[in-house]
Amino acid sequence: MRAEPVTVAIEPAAGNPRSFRRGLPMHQKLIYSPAMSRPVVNEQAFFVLTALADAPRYGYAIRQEAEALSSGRVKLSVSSLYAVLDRLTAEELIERDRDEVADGRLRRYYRITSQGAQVLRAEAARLAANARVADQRLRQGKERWA
Amino acid sequence: MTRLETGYRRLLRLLPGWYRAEREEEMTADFLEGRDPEELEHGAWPGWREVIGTVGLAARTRLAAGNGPASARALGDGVRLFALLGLALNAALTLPALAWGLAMAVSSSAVPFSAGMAGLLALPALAALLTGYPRLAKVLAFATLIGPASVVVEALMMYDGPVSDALTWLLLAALPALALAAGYHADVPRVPVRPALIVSAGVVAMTVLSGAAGWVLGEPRIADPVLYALVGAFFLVRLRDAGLLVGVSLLASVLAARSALWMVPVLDPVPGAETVLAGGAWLTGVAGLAGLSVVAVVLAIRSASALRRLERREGAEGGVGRSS
Repeated sequence: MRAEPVTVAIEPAAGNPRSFRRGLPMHQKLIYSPAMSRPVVNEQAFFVLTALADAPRYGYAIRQEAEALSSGRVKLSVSSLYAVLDRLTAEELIERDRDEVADGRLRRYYRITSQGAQVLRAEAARLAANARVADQRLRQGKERWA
Repeated sequence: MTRLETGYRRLLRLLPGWYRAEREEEMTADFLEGRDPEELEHGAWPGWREVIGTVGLAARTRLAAGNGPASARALGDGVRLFALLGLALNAALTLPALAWGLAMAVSSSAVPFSAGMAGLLALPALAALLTGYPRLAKVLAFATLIGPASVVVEALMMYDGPVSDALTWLLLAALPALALAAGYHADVPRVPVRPALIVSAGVVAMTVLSGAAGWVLGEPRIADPVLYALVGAFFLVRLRDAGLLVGVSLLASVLAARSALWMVPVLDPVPGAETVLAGGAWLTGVAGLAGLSVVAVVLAIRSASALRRLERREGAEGGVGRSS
């Protein structure tokens, strides 16, 4: 679920609704509404969701799985992974599953939510439809490309 | 704790406290997993890829958009507003060159032709930001630095000629470019065009008014601080929003620094000091600069206290992934 537009007012607005006390209209709408952001599921997010589709995983395991699933195309650095996890958590597409300690180090597991599964399914269907169309066209002109 | 772990923990200090409280342990574990024992024991440097990635993550979390505590969002909003205002101001300052012809603008100043051309890129940079191409806007904003940087370098290498003009130009172009680079990160959605255009038009109108006043007084550097101090005082009275306070405070500080730098060549020789009128205008300029500096300082103090209040309000609710 996308969040409502967010404003950061330190005091309640009063009087004229167009007052600067409420912030400029631009300021209220500018950068602050996650609903205006670009599509959540870019390639990195797609493979993170896919990595979590069958079982909860922790950071390092998600990175390994995303790289394997993408045939080495998506190599997430630690900071990129946490940027993606932050965004997917905020969008409620994934959530924390459990914490474990292995070799004295924390492993925090994440799992996909039902909403995340829906988004992943829709994205997979969209990509599959694109692939079908391209494949169909290539088959129609196969003499040309043979 | 191994040297490598110490190195990673040091690197993670770039991230804000609220984020580290949430993520430091799992990120450190993630950094170290899969490393061979030799590397764990003797390695100390996290590597450029992780350093650059963590700097990017620090910008995203400290200048948050949408996610993160209200104070980080307010700071991010302020920096982004400052970037937009600064870019609009730089674009407005190129308008005379467009209006009177590039050749006239170049011949009437000490700025080389290429430098003047580079300055004109502020306009397409603003257009790129408003039309949803922040990366292009960043490249163009940094390209505008070529002009003032080349003039400063040339003046320093030749050891003659005043550099204060070029330094003020560099200051005014570089800080919004840096704010643009840091503030408009991957989490920031597209800037809504209409309100941003209204704000940009306001900045252009203010610049035109300042130019006209400077023309009337015969010394453009005098009118600027007076006008900006008046506009700043208006916002000082009206603003309550933490993000707006931060943005306007940053711009006021930069304008005050610019006016202060301008005053250096004005002091010696005082322009038109032979006439009482020009002397009075110069004194007005100094008073305006003092006023603008006070406005900037008060705005900065109010922004800082507003951010602290937001942090206190959030208290122990801190966490990653919050959106409001």
